[in-house]
Amino acid sequence: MQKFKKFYAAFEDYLAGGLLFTGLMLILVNVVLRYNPMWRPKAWIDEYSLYLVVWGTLIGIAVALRNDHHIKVDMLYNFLPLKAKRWVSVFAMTLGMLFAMLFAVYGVQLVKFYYVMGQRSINTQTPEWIPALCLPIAGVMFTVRFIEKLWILLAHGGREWFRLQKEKEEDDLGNISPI
Amino acid sequence: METLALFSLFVFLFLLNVPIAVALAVAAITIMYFMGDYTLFMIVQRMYASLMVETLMAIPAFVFAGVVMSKGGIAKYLIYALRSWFGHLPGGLAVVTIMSCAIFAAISGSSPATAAAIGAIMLPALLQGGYPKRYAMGLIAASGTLGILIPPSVTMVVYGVTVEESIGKLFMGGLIPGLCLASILIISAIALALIKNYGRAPKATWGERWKHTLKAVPGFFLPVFILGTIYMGVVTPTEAAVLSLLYAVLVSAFLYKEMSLKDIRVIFRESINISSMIFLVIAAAMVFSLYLTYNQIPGAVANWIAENNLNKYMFLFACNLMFFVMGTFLEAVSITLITMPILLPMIQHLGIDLIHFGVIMTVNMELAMITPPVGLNLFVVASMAKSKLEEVVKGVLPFIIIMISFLVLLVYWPTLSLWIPRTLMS
Repeated sequence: MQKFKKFYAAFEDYLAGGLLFTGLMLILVNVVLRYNPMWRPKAWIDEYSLYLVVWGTLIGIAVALRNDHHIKVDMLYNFLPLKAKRWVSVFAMTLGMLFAMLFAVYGVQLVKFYYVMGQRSINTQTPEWIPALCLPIAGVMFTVRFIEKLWILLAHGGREWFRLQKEKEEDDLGNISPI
Repeated sequence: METLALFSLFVFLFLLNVPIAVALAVAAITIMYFMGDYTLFMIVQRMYASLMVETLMAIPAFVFAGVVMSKGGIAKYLIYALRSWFGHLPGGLAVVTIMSCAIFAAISGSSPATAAAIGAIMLPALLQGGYPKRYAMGLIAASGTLGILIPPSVTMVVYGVTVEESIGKLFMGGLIPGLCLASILIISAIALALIKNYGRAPKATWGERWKHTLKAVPGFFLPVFILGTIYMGVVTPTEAAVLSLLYAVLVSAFLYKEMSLKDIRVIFRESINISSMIFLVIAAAMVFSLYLTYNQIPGAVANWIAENNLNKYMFLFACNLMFFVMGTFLEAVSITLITMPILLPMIQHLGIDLIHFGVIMTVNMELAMITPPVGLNLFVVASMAKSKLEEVVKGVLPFIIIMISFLVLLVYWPTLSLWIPRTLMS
């Protein structure tokens, strides 16, 4: 299980980062093409770089959740006793999970809608449902990370979560000495 | 009525520690669902479509470039070079910190990234040089905020996309105010160091100076390159961002040789963390503004202003106050996206220049980064220095006062922000 988790995290990082990086570099290709008299910038490059960057960032939403990078407001939360904190977090993560699921479910509907309507992009005639596939994929990956957070909070009476909180506290107060 | 419910629900949710993006989206979706005018599937479509904007691609590109620069040696060598020239002067280390932040700000578009990149090296150096820890932390948190004022700037990209103003012009508008603020910070740092007699770094020899400067040339060249190409109109801001990313990668990997294949995952992860966080906030805020425009809230507010003959300066004062209050608990991207659709018609009605307003807003967002309880730069510095948030807050307080005074100057003297963009246009 631990091995799989490690593998999955690496998969997320490389997939999201790779898509983002490739997308950004494609933008560059068009700059080069524009300033070379022999070539012309290609419309498909503009379009596909956009797809790749959006794919990368949307899939990356799950990565940011894993690393606790989505900004939260802690001002009230920090004053709560530990036990109350746990239940507030359960609420927040459940809500997040529902949002992620909604994102996935309606993402599927959007893909279906594009598929049935047969909409295509103006420049390259790419069927719109293909780039839109990132919505359900990102939604599912986001949901998975919320479920993991909830599992840590709830399993064995929150044993793992309490341990992590304690670690964090020691880390905050432990070494005030200058670095 | 629904609008009040929407805002209350949003506040309630984020106070319960729900991530801001999720709180924004869930609040808007809930209210729209009960109003029954929207199908949920249209909302997801709107979120998706709002991200498919070429201009927004500048954000991940500048974030990515910033991460590469702080990991691959560019930031480090910049600091070494500046330190060899100025480190031995009174307040020299503080001056080096501010100047490094200003130069890094001209390469990266984000304040927390600037504070993190420069702070990682300058915080230990300042402490070694005998500066009090509280002051050192405050200095880094405050000068790090220059990241979004000195172009390029993520906040300005978001603002420009929202109000449909040219990103290039906004960038140029931030240049003089950014340099002014940096100078004000430098002067106050020198004054304070003279009064308190803070320590100095050992004087570097001329040989060392040239050696360090030569090594840092690729870093010094980058801001000139980015701003120059945008200024001349050779590339769009997005393209400049991508070019600087490629440049940073090449310099780090082949010239400095401080980046190898095994660093790729860390760089990917850190870039994704920040970019995806911002993109989720953008997508969620678009649902929010979908509600606002659909219900013609901005128009209603603009009418109210017109009927009550509110004058320009009262309006600007009210905006600043509102930004300051919101800035204490929200971050820049969400504030911009929530408020601008409402404010835009009023700004136009009162005849305020959108670039001038953009610069004012950006300085407000700088303040938002260092005002407690929620200030991204405070968090960055606290975790870096392994210190309590309260300590950083105490250190940053004098800088907050300096920046507020600067903001007043900026509001009453539009030329400061408009001179370069106007000269460019004529």
